[in-house]
Amino acid sequence: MSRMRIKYSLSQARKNMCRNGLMTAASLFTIASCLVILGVFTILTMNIGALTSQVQESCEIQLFLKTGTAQVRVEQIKEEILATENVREAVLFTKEDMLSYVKEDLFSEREELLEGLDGENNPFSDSYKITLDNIAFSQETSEKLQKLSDVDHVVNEESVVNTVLTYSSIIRKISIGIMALLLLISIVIISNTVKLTVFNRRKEINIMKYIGATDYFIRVPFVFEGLLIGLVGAGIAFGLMSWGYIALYGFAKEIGFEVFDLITYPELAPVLGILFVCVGCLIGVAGSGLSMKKYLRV
Amino acid sequence: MIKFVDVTKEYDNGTVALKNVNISIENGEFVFLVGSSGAGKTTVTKLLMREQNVTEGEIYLGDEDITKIPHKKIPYLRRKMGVVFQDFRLLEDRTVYENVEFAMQVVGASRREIRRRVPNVLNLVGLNYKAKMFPRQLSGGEQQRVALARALVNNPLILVADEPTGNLNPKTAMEIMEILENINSMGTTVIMATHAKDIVDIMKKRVIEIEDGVVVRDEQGGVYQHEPDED
Repeated sequence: MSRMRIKYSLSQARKNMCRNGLMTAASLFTIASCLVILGVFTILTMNIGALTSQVQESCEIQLFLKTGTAQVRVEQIKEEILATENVREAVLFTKEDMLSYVKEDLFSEREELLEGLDGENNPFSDSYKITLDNIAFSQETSEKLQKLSDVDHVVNEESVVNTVLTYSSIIRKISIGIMALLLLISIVIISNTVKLTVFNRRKEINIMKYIGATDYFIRVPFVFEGLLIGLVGAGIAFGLMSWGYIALYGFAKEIGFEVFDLITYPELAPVLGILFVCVGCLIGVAGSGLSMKKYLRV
Repeated sequence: MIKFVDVTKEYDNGTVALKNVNISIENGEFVFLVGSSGAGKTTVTKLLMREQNVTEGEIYLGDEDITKIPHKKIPYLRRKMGVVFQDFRLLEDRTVYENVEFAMQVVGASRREIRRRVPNVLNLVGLNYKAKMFPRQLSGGEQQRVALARALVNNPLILVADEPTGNLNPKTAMEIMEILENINSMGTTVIMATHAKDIVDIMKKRVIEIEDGVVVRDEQGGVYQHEPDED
């Protein structure tokens, strides 16, 4: 396509959008609405993904040493733990740490019940909190750690983690399914909206055909129009979603929401931006292109 | 220049609009197509424009059989023709100038060429002073003149007019006919389908009468209706 034709088609697209303001507004509103809903599910899917990662990373195995294990051995076993496959980190949690934890967190109002348990009377044993690379292999890793000498027992939160992972996976699959469906519905809605626009201008198309305009000449301004509407709709949707998410994020921080960390806006913005531009343009162009066919048969 | 050879047209609903029609029209002729409603006049113009295609037969424009033209080449055929309709078919949201300019943009004319030709053509139809007006601000006759200007601006070989005076009063209709005659005198072939008896009788051009899809009369200097006692 020559530069002149591109310029002509773009200028016709802009003029047509202005001349048919109401239909343009209807198309814009429809695209923006569809993209906002798509954006909501995208954010949901991304945050579920983040939750899954965080759960995986925060999941720990706790390895308890036998009571009376010598201090030297306690420090030595850390090397053996770290040398075990799938272990990322091992942090010592001494019996004194455990006693403090129990006093302050569990028996904070009845500390007198734990008097006399200091020093040699401390009933707890030293332990290591171990973080893994891949929670999926937590059972195998636990079994290997259990075989180390002076290890009393290993506690694995696998069942809790698996439950979280399973539900996360289900929700993510449902979200993706809904997003795919939304995309399809968006194309259909936009196509129908653009069909109305094209129907509204069937007389113009008809005249163009009689004058000797090629299908290409007629179609391109409409496709550009669909593209422009898609881009503007994407911009509106992006603005709304950005404002909404920043407000939500701020609110979550204010109320001390700490179950997991929400994805930050700088992480989210590029994904949403690219998604909206691509989808907005796709449905704008596809809607225009598909709906014109009938009126070109003159 | 235009030749219909054994042309038959049957529509999908079974209606036979034309049966074995043979017509030859030379360059520069002025031809009226007359006949009752449903006789087949509009079908002739539609076939010429390739809006429809023949069921049987051929149609030649010069040496080219236009019935064989692929769909994507039809626009280029139509650029050799100007077409004028009974209902004018102007673009309501564009000015007179823009309506005529549009026909040149469609064929990819340069801005310089557009600026040169559009005013000339508007002058030819006597509407230069109304170039910035919109169709809704014009009378029926003026709108038809704009349509004529649009049809002429690309120097077509043929002008096809389908009931161009159908929505006009007699005085305005004659003004349009004067313009058509002027166009014809400059070498453009004019083919006009019409019910306007007075116009046909006054102008005394070649008349092709079609009845039930068959050419029943073809005479130079003819009138609208054959008088029975002239046979």
